[in-house]
Amino acid sequence: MYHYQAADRQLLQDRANQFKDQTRRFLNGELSDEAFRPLRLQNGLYFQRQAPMLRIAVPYGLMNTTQVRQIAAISRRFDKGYAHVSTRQNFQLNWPSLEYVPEILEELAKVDMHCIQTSGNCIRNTTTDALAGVAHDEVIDPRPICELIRQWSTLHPEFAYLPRKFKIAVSGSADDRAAIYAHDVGIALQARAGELGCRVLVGGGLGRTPVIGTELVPWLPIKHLLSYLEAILRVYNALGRRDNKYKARIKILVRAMGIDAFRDAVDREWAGLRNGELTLTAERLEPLQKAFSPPAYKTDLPPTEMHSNPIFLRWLSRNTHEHKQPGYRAVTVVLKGHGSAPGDVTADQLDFLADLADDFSFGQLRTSHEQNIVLADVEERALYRLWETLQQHGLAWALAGSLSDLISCPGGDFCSLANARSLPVAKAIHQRFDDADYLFDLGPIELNISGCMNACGHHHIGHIGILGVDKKGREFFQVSIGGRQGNKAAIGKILGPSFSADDIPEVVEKLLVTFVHNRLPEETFIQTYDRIGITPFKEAVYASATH
Amino acid sequence: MPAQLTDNEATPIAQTDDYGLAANDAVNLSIPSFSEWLTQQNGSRLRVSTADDIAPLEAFIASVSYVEIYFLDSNDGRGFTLGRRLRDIGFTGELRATGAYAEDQLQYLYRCGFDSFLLPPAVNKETASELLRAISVTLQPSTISERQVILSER
Repeated sequence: MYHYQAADRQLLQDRANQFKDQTRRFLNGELSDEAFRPLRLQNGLYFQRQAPMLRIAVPYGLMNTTQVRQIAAISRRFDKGYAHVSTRQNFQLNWPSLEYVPEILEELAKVDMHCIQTSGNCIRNTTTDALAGVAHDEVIDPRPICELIRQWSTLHPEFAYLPRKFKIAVSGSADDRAAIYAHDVGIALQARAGELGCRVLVGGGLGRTPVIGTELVPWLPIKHLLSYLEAILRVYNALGRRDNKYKARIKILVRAMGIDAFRDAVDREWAGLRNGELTLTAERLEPLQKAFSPPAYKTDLPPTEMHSNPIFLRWLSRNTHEHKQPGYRAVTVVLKGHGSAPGDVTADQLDFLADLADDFSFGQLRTSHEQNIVLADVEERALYRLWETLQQHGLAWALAGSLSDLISCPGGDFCSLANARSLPVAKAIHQRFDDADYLFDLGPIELNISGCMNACGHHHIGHIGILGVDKKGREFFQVSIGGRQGNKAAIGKILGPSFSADDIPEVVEKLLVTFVHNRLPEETFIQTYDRIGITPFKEAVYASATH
Repeated sequence: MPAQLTDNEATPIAQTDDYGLAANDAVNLSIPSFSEWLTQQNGSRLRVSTADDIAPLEAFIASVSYVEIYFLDSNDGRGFTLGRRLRDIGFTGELRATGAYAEDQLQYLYRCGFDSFLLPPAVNKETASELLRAISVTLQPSTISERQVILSER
């Protein structure tokens, strides 16, 4: 992975000192709430319902075990002994005190971590495929480009006060696992006749107005990537709406201008930037590529005969993934325990996962946008031993990509934006559907819950999406189906009138029963939905409606 | 990094301009606003607001020696892009930030090409020059060379 240079470390030190001074000025009244707000947000600090929330950046989801242990230690010392993996691959602490935040930043800086630009109207953490560098279908490892974007976007002087937040995702595989169609800018890396380049999408995003990204340019040589991004951001910064925060994302600007006029504006801006100082040279790119060269894989591994334990085999088929390197697999550790919020992980579990990463996966682990942990480089012959260890720690029960691996935002229990409490709904679904055989038979189903229209739970692209809405002060939940991420990204269709929280498990059950009745052999939920449409699901849910 | 600090006083006169700004907004109303300047297109000094589209300025940039950008509020990031654009089209004169920008934005403004600041109320020059040095490294290439900075207290 990329190792911080002297300049990176100096920047973190300076930033920690700067925020210490800003916090001091806020606490002694020199800075108003309003003046402090953008400063704390760009250091990842929210003031929420019950306590502040601090969001720690995990650039493109990659961490070493020293960093993981430090998060565990910080959560014990300054918080309640647990942390939360967000849908942007970051960590969140739910209960730190403001006075301690500068100290937390110092502790993070010791292990090359920070909270820079994890919130606020700026360029946020760049995300990618949790299987980057190891996926069997990968064309180009996206991590060097993610690191390049991290450096370019970190404390960029021009783009710290954008109309709204700005999110970039990069994919380097045939299958898009980075949700590039649901980002302000999505970058699909490609190679043409030996040259590295990319396709650029713009204006995707979830939130209040879900939009699938549109192609801005089908092919851009990689050397122009940063100057082109700068041109996009500049057009957005100059022309994006600032009068209404719900209409301030770039997707609204692109829609208002039309993609062609937007492209023309970017090209005009780019004309002055192209071939300038941001042009990527081999000298600049090669060290980044080298930083992400493969670990010391064993090349003489004998073929592994897998243990026949059926529970292990089920876990193997769902929670491990094909690997570029013969003899290895990538492993998803699902953080969806009974009774805790999806993505929550205790300090003890973090230490345990760090030990596992040291023992099984070259001392690195990843966070995924599905709010899970990935051990990317595990020898096949070690999988059974790994699974047994995970089992002993209660981290092997949930099946990746099944209903039990559902995604949820923290919701109204924690977040001041939320209309509704999403966690009790997640818990009720977990309790209703806890039969591993049934879940396995259902196959891959992505269920996403958001507590409000800001869509942090990505409900629009869930096969089943659940959205908390407020009706005259009461919580209701709107259900949509047919959404999906990936190359065929689509926004789900709303089923009909919304439901109370208590009704949701029943509604999900009816959707599943409809699927099981209609499915052809081997068909997945989304394939059946595509074949039969929304009507049978609608009828099943509302037919006997007593709601 | 700023090399030296000098004074530059604002000399307000009593009236409002086409931005709705008055003398007590600490702007120099004797300098033409962008729309006033546009009707003449030959003055060497002008004031623009973050809402102005400065494209027509490009053809005349060589004859301009002073541009003042008025920040409507501290979250209005358009001024940063305006500054960069002015430098990109070859403006080499004094670029002054006034209005409602925040003191913690000074270094970003400097890096976007501003070299002259009417400081926010209650911010003195000593504090400002510290804030201008808050972060000692940059991860972006910069086309803007080090230059003298003018700081004025209110």
